[in-house]
Amino acid sequence: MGKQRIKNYVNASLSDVIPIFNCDYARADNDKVSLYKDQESLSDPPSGLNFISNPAGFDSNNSKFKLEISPLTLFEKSLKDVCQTTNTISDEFTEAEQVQCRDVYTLPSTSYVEPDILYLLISVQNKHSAVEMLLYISLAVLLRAWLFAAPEFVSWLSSLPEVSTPLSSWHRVVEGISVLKQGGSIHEGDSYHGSTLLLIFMSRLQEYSPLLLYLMFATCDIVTSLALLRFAEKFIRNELIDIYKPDNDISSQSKSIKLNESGMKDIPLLISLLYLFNPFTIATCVSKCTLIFSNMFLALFLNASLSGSVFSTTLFLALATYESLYPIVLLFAAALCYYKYQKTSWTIYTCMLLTTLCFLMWLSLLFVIAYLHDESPESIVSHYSFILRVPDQTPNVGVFWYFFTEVFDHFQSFFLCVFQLNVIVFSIPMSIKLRSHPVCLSFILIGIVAALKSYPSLGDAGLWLSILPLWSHTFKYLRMAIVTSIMLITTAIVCPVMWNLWIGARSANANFFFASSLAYTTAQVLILTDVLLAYLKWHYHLREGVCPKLETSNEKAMIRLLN
Amino acid sequence: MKLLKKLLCNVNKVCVFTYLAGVIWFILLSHPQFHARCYFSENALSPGLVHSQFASSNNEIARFNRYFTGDTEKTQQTMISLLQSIGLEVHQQKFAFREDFINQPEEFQLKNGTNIYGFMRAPRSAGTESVVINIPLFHSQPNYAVGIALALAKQMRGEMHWAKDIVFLFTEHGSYGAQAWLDAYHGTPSFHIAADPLTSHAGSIQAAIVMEMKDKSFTYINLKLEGYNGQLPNMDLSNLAVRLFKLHEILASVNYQFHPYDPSTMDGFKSFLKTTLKMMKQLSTGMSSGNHGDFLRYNIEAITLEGIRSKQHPNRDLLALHRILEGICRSLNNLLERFHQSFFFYLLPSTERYISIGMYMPCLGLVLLAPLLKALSMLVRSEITDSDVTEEQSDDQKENIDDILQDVGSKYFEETVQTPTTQWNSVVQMMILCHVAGYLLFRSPSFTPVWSSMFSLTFTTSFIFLLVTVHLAALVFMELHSQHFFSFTQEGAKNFRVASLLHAAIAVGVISIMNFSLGFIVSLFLVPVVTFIQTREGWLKYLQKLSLIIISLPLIHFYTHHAYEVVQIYNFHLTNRSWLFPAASLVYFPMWLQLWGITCCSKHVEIAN
Repeated sequence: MGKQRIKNYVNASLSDVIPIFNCDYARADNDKVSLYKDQESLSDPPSGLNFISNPAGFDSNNSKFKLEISPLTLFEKSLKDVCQTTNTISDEFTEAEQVQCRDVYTLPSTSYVEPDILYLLISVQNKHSAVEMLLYISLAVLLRAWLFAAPEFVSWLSSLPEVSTPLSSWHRVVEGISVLKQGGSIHEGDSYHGSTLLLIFMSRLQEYSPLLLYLMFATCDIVTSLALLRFAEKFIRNELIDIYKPDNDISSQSKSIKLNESGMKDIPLLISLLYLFNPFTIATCVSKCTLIFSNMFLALFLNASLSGSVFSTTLFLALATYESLYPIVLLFAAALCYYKYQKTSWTIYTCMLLTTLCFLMWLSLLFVIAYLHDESPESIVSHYSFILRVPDQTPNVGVFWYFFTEVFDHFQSFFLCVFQLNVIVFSIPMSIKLRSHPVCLSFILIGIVAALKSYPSLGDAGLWLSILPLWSHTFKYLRMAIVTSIMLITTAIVCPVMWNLWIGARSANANFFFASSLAYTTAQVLILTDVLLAYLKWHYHLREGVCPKLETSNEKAMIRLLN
Repeated sequence: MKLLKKLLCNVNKVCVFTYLAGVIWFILLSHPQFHARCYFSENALSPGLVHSQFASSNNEIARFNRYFTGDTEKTQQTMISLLQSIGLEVHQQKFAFREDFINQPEEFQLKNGTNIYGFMRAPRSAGTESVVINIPLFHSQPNYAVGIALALAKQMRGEMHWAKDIVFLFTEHGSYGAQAWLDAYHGTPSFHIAADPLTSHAGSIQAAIVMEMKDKSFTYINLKLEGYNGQLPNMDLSNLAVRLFKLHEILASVNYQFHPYDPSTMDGFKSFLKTTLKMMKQLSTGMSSGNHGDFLRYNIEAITLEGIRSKQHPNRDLLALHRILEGICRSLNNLLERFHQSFFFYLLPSTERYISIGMYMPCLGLVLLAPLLKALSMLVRSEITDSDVTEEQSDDQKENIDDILQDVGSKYFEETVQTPTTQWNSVVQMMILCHVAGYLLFRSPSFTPVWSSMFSLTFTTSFIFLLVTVHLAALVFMELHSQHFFSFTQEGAKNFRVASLLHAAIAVGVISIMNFSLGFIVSLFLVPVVTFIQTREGWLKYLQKLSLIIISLPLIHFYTHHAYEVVQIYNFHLTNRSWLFPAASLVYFPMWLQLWGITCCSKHVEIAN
């Protein structure tokens, strides 16, 4: 393939090579090029460069030959030279390929382009060709269609408390639609507690054709997975640009732990596949849980937050917030993202102000639309009060229901505040600690909300678990990955079993189910903290080098702790 | 940390030790020191506090029984008229059901049956709660409990202290009748039974007693407790029955085993062990031993009392049982709330002793610890040995902490990361393939008609033939797949093994939460195989394959052939009662196939090396 060639080879002459590697002269032998400095052969030729010999024996200095570039090693030396080399890309390339190269040149925030990034970009686009992705998507759709066609399985799945919560279950939507048709107020009774706009959208859709509903749910999953794919691609590209920027504060000793493109090139596809074929996601989709929409908005938010466009970012954040309220904790992360990936050069405060204003604008717009449809403030208030006051204590995989069935009534409001604060309060220290890593911040906050929110279900965890491979370069710093992952899998399997023992066979009691759901939540929190610590440790090593010089005793202690 | 290292270095020995410890623990459970005397948690039952009324006589029971020896049609009419003459509110329910799904695939050959039920309305309450006395009617022989029930009904009509409705339920066709009645009572349709709706209802059913008497007199009473899928009635109910038997000096047994004369002797120990094992055997099949299983499925505590007659021993007449039944009803009448105290998870080594869940769960935990430890050791072995080396090195130069730190740092991070191909994606792919094979096995019986017409076999033969074919096909596929299309590297094979170990431990653990007996018995033969199977060459490989064949599903079925036919197991699965068939095809078979895959990939590991 022609495109493959671009990423691997650059045509250059020996004279181009000499300044790059700071050597005195280069000599081309039959199958390799040797570099010499001070009369000595460089015993350790730069590993990133392989010279592919020109078959028709070449004249050492003039004829051009192909350079295979493995990018990692190049950038220690003069980047400008490399770029000049790149500029002399030969005329062999077809027009389309050159267009692609030109596209690459217009990347934001860098005046020049590292071949590295070029490599990654093109490889990403090549690797996950549309055909391959289409194949996976159609497979996912077929799987969902097959499961939709098994009504017994679907009804069993929807009856599980882990899958459908009072906030998001499809039964409630159906009830809400029929209330709507009767002309009643949606939020009056105890039937439907979701958002007004969603219900109106659903009822319109159902009037049109019930088949559209199934299509809608499958499409949501696909949109989410594509958004995650784009998000991961962009994020990895940005990280690579950051790390290989010449004037960054990365230690020279940390070469071995740097991100490299060969390790990361499959990650975007893996993430989107993990979302498409995640049992948690499939269960959510097949049981027609409306949670799927907030997941979609969150994924779109993540994707938009990297584009540096404040309008689209806040739009999706506002949609997610309108759906399930908790994503509001991501507001600060959105501002930080905007600050980091902006195309202009505003200060952080301006960015924050702008983000907040935009967010409020979108949110109030949504409220106004909802109000116009329902014409009572109830439509907004009751949805959020249901989320915040947790009046429905139907068992789920969260921590709320058990506690509030046990606690005395006069303590209820106090503990409600405590539990809800518990979800929200982490956003402040996290935002301060991770202010220069807004994407990691968004990820951690999404995870915390998924674990600790008032009506969690498996689908919440499905989203952030799918994004997990994004941090695969820090995974060697994980401390208890085995234990926590086994714990998560086991508890996810045990939960329905305990439910059956309690409700089906009546031989167990609520404690059995609560214990397993508590262990499930604990596993999530443990994984999140582990990933966060690993990321911070990795970044520390990146800045300070993997075996930093130790001067004061305090630092020693810190290093020891970190190790 | 050091302890952990030592443990992981000798992991094979530790695995053998934990496995043996688990088995020994389980055997020791039958020692009187390790199980406790049954006691009442629910004091409201207060058994034996009241005197039985002795209102009826042996003659009366015999007189009632004399009506029910002839033709079914006629006896049903007699039954209705008798119940009406006693003064009960009598109804009947007709139902039709489909019994065999293999042999009558196309045309619904429905069998018909009639349930007769009479309500003894509680004179003193609103009738919100009720107790069911279920007498299954057999077609081949009379059930002499009918007489007892009728005599009891006659006596109860004259008494004013009943606070719960008593339902006398006479069902036909074993559990089908009971299920038809219960389905109609609770308004839950089931696809294989078409039943009339009930014409009248009583309150919510608190408990049920099933009576089976095949002779006019009995030597002892056998208690049957095992429900579907390892369900057991609340232990208070069986305690109640046992206590009343003791009070009236009637011998009682569980699984035809008596309480040993002297529990502290070796014979006593053996008897306890035998009783426990018999109970576990019944529980592990996932089938109910009597009609009470259908009541248990509706969360109604129920037991079956079966009268056994032996010619060598002195016999008791039915009047004694009548008093017991009256006593049980009186006690249940005292009940203020649903059965919720006492135990739902237990094993009975005799009628008077029990093993609680807290005692028997640890032995399963010990057995399952073996694969878990093995998996853990395989996962962390490389890390442990690495850090061992650095520790030895650093011991020499302990003065300079910076050096040590640098050493450690370099060990971990400086070396160029040469990630061995872990092949996790292939492992996942392999596991998915195995589960797809399991799903095919699960669905394969629906092709029985096609199969039988193709090979012109009977339905039963073709059904079994089909299952075996899918089995063999999966096996051959696995063999070919790992030899021609796909090969693991050493690292990949190791990861596949780790995944299989964890999968086995989790799957068996989850099964045992629902049905301890099944889980424990499976773990007993699965764990040794699963822990020590690895990719090997030479005769060991064939030994491993042999051991896998020994624990394959068809052979397991062959050993336990007398218990239940596979057709019956499948029918019970379709009628949504026993989960044995799905458990075997969807859980056990994929697990087994993975192990087979491990033994297959050995040759290629060598080449890869």
